[in-house]
Amino acid sequence: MISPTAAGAAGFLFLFVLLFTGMPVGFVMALTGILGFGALVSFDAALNLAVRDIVDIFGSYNLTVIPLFIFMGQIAFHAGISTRLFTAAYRFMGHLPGGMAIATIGACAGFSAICGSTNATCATMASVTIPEMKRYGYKDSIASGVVAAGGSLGILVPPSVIFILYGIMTEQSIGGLFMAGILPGILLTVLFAASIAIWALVDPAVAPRGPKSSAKERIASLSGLVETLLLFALVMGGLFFGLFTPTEAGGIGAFGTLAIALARGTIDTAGLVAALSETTRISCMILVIVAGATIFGHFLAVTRIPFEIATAVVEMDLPPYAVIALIILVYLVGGCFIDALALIMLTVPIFYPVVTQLGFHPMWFGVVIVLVTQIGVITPPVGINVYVVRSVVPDIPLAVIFKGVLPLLAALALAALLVVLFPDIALVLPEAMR
Amino acid sequence: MIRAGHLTTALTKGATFSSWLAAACLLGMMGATCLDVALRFFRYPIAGAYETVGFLGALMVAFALADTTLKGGHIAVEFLADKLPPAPRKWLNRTVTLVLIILFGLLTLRMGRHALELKEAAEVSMTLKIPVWPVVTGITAGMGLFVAVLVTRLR
Amino acid sequence: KTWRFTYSVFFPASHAQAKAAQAWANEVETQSDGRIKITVFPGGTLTNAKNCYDGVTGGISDIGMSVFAYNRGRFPVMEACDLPMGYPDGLTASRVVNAYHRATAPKELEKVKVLYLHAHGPGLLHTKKPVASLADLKGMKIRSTGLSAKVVEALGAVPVAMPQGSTYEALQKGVVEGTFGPVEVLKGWRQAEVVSSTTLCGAVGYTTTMYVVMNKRKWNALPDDLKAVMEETSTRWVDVHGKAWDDSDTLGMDASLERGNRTVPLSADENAAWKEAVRPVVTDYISRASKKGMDGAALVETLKRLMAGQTLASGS
Ligand code: NA
Ligand code: NA
Repeated sequence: MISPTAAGAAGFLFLFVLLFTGMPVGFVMALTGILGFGALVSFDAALNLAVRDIVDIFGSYNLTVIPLFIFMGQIAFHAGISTRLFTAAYRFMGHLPGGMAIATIGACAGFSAICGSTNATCATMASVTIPEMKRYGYKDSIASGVVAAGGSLGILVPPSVIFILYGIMTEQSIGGLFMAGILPGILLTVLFAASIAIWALVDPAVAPRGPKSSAKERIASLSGLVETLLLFALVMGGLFFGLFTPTEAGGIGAFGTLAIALARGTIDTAGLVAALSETTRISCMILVIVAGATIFGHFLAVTRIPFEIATAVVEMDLPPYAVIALIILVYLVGGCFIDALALIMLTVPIFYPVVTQLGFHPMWFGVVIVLVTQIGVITPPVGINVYVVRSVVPDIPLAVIFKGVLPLLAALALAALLVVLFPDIALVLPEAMR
Repeated sequence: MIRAGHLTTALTKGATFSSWLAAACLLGMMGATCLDVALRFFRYPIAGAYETVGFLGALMVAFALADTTLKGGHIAVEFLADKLPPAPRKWLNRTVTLVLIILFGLLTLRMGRHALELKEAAEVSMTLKIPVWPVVTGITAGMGLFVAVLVTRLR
Repeated sequence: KTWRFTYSVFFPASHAQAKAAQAWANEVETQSDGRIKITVFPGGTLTNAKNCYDGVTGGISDIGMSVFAYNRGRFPVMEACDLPMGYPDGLTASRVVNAYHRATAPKELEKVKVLYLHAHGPGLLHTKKPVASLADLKGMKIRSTGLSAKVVEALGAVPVAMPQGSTYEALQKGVVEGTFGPVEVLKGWRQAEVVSSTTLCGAVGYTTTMYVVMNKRKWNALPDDLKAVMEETSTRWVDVHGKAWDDSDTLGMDASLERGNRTVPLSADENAAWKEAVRPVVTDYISRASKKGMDGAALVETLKRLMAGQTLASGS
């Protein structure tokens, strides 16, 4: 009988090789997971597992925000709402180095205040902003990289599914964790913007600068913001006054966008059909990957590799900051292969008691985990956000997106480092709240 | 060969029809959410709207599978396979497709069995008590169509 | 020969019930002199709550702990246990549901080996504004699913169903104005942060019955002495879980009161009115059960009789 750890190692190798045959990523993970689980338990059980995972993920209520927000973005795109928004952004920021990409980061941060999931934030923003950035001559790499990284703000800026999960697993205040995410979210947004500006200054070809617009042009462009502001008010207002939950916000946002587009007559039947068909196609691609990752995650769970690694780190008996460094390394490497939620479920129960015993603040650790998870969703080979962007803009190759993500990855790493060195960035708000 | 051509045409039509069903599910998800939120404002919500939304979501993804695949669909890491000369690349593609047909053929059969088991067990959703088996049957149908589309890709 | 089993538990590892499950696994290992080794997968890392039962029959895990109500319709006999019978505490509820299972030996559980069952303390009403009467509760939006949604409806409030994981945000934003659940959720799901008051409506306290079941083939393959070890340990663990539920309720209440939340007792009149109001939930169960060819009335009677016996025995 094959040992679980050996099966897990073989599984990783198999996954790697299979990825390069050109088999779709979701299917690669599903196949590896089924074969691995089959080898360890039984193939009959593996098929049962896969079937249940597929039904679960396809029908997960929490994941329904993905198609609904994508639909919202698609309508906004086909009705020209996003074009008018970006025209205004261009008038104000087009002359700055990487101005349109910085505007996109701002939009991502704003949208993250509505949406708690990184996949949904990324997919929505990708369909809205990439075509616009390209219209202003931005290169594929910067346009796609910015959205893939910016979309990860969805889990750092509250609301956030990861903070909710972490709060429940570690019995920390979810409200407090949400507060803890705010300053790091702002910090990261600024660092993202800075890294874009530096990138655009070093290599001006990726983000051509426009002429400085006159005050008159700027004021004229503001009318293009009306629809967006209306939508933002609808969704934020509804959330604020408790009319609906963040999960329901997707449905409301899509409906609101559709209503505005129909009322103003800016969308025709062809546009609506395109929005519908694009949405189902993109959602299908994303959920197939999530389902594959879930099956693979269940295989990894039964190999107990995440558990063994976590235990090994704990047992090394290192100085506190070395332990933190190792834990971050585990999440970085793990995040390359496993879905963020699964990884956190598998490892937090082991790391959490150690980290708190070493005297680190539980909420600070939560923020650190979210930051490294954000890194995980944009690094190869399995970077869900990169795949999400790829599903929205199929004409940009994966390698280009991964390349485009690099400068922003540096910003993320710096943010993570700053939060590790200065825990107060995360802690000052929740402490003030108490 | 003519018959194979007919089959492909029929499957393309089937996939397109199925994608329309997916779009209908999407509109249904949006509609159910909005209706529930609006009615809740007047304190008459649909007790378990979220169950309906989840079921529609599952059907949406399953019904979109075939069409997504036809449209060149799923995300893959192509850059290595693309560097191969045409002949080996064709064979690699065929092998990958064959593996997927076997994998998803087995999964479709198992999904169908799961639907039958759920029907037998009379499992319903927690709050609205909607039978679960028709949803799983829908997923089975979507996956079946997807496998059929893969078969046409073998040539 | 060492018998190795996997055990899927949907509670997160930090939850008292997951710890009790781990303790059971350790005890079985000790009692069998290490001949049985059980690996626990908490937090739904192997199968989630809904898939746990199928996971056990389908060989995904050998043993599984989850909730009957998540597979509604499948366990019509056991469903009676989740009715608002007015369970006083988790220990009593856990003992009653096991006794009920022994007394009714339902066919619906034939495919698995039932090791033991347990059940949480009374599900109570936790609200943002205090509720002291049916009149206060009228028209309030209360998070509840399944049978507890029926209870909420019978009490004249508006049931809003959503996953437990979404409840915190819904309460925080006021999408719902209260939730129905054991006191434990105030701490375990952090909901004490977003409610202000708990109504002590124990008279209509419902429970949620949970199972620990084992794959029948794996069970049948065990030698008799090891079967005895597992059964004996399981019998002892009913009280372990029941007490753990009650401890969690106490901790939940402490956490809630510490935040400045309050408890609202019901007057004798209100108590009677609430009890009367939920009666249709029980009659509805009886008629639905009868439609399925079961004697619903007899099942409810059995449950009531066992409960009366337990309440006497525990002297409360
Ligand atoms: Na967010
Ligand atoms: Na990654």
